[in-house]
Amino acid sequence: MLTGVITRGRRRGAPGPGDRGAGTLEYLGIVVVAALLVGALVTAFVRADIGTVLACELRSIVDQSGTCGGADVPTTYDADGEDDGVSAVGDQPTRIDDGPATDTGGGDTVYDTATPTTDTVDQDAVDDALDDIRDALDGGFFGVRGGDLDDAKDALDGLNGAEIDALIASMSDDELRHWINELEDGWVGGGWDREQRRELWELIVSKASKATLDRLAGLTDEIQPSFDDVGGDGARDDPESVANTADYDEVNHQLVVGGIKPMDIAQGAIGDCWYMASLMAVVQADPSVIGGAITQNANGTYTVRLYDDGKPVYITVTPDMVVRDDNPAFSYQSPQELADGTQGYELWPLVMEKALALHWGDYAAIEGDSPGLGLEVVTGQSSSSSSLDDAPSVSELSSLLDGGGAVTLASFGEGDDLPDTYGNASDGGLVTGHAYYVKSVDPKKGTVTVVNPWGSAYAPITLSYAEFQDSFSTIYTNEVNP
Amino acid sequence: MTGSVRGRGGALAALLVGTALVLAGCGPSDDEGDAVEHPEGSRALVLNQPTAIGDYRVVASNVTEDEAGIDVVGDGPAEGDRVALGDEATIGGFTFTLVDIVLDGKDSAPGGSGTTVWILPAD
Repeated sequence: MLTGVITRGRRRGAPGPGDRGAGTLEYLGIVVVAALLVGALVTAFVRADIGTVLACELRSIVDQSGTCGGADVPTTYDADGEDDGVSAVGDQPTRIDDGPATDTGGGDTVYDTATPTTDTVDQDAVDDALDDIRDALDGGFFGVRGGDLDDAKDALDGLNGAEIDALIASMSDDELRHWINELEDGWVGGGWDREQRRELWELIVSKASKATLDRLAGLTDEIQPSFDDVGGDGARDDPESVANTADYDEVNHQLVVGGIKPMDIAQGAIGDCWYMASLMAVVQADPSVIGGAITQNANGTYTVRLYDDGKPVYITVTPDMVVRDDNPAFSYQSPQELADGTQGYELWPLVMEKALALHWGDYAAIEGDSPGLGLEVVTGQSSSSSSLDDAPSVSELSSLLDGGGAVTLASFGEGDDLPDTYGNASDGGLVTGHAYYVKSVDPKKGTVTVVNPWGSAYAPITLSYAEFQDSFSTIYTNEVNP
Repeated sequence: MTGSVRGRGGALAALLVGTALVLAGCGPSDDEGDAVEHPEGSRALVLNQPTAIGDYRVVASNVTEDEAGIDVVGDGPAEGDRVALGDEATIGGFTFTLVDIVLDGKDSAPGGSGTTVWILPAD
């Protein structure tokens, strides 16, 4: 065989003796590397953890991310709501350490707002499902593949909340870690993408008890979105920042207190002004959009309808919120009297905020974006954007608002030449790098009133139309209910 | 034929180098930047993010390299003023010294700036 190769090479006029020797060495090198690769593959089949690492490496080559173990980064959009392709880096699964599970909640086993369960446990169904899941996660010679993970999820389908609780309680932490590792980091082609994993978590989170979800949340970030990177370097370097001191906890709450109103919202220590302003604008236009977007489940969790490119997506969040010093840390709330006479928090703004964070990966992922996209995420309708030179006239804005539309604004950036309308917010000034919504328009006076999403401690700002045009970089309009 | 073998050798080398680079990218990163020392007890105000400090919600905005707008909400409506780097100020009953300004410098979408103002609360 070797002779044949050399003969063919000579026939085509090739190498002399010296070159032939170099070629042989190179062939020898290829053979050695091939042998090493085969050895690695065999070892990978025997050692699941090595297989996992190799799978991660191969996947990182394919998606050109160059890293393993990073967080999933969802697609984000530019000001016009189009995929900019920058952040869509594909799946970079989170690795699960082999440390002990972390109890992220208190000692309660059910959420405060859960309705008393009438679920009964069919132990045979639980046992059958457990057998199916263990069989699927055994994987055999080829390891756990996508079909095995499908089988494990299918085993959960049809179980009620009490049965899911019983099934998860029957599994050891090691078994759960193995399952989650395979979901997030499985063998080539075997792991699931984030969307598939989210379907599984939706199935569990919408039914299971707080005790079960607290246990699972200690094993994956895909039930309680991380807030570790909120505020970037500044917050990271501040030992007292939310990123460094907050925890998840269930505060005394009611989903809605006295109706859904724009001023229920006050941005907290997170850069999601674009989303907060959008929520306020949509609530002003039609509060039923928010009312219809949130469904409370029997186990006390909330399923939220948001939109991706106009298509509805459903995200279920627990009522645990990011809490610092016993107060919600992000969308700000003052305690108020609830229906049962206790003091507590109106949760809908926090639920909407947490749902987007979970959908996009974590809380840091929702820092900094377009107030036009914010309207689209909530309404499912496309936003239009323009510079203020091409902004709708006062009468057009008035008609849009009267017709149930929503309008948001982006202020100028840092370093821009700023008009006199900029200044301290408490003095009625505008601030750079921020989002606002249009509260009202007075066609007779020719004025536009805008609101800062920092809450009711800051008065609305009324501008002449000329000041309005000079004061913002971009205006976004959305019909909400066309 | 020689060229073909050399091509394969080059491809192999590229594969090995590429694999090494990917593996290197998979390792832990220690790129945390240079830590900046601030007086003990200093708090970071990331641009336009109302931050709870004690009984107050404090926010920095319209930041330049040597001063910042600071607004404070206590029990009532917000109060604010512009404060220069190094100055002590009392706004809405909240007393602090502005100890550092770190400008992001990037053109960010609303809410995306990393500009940070460091203040040292008086108590």
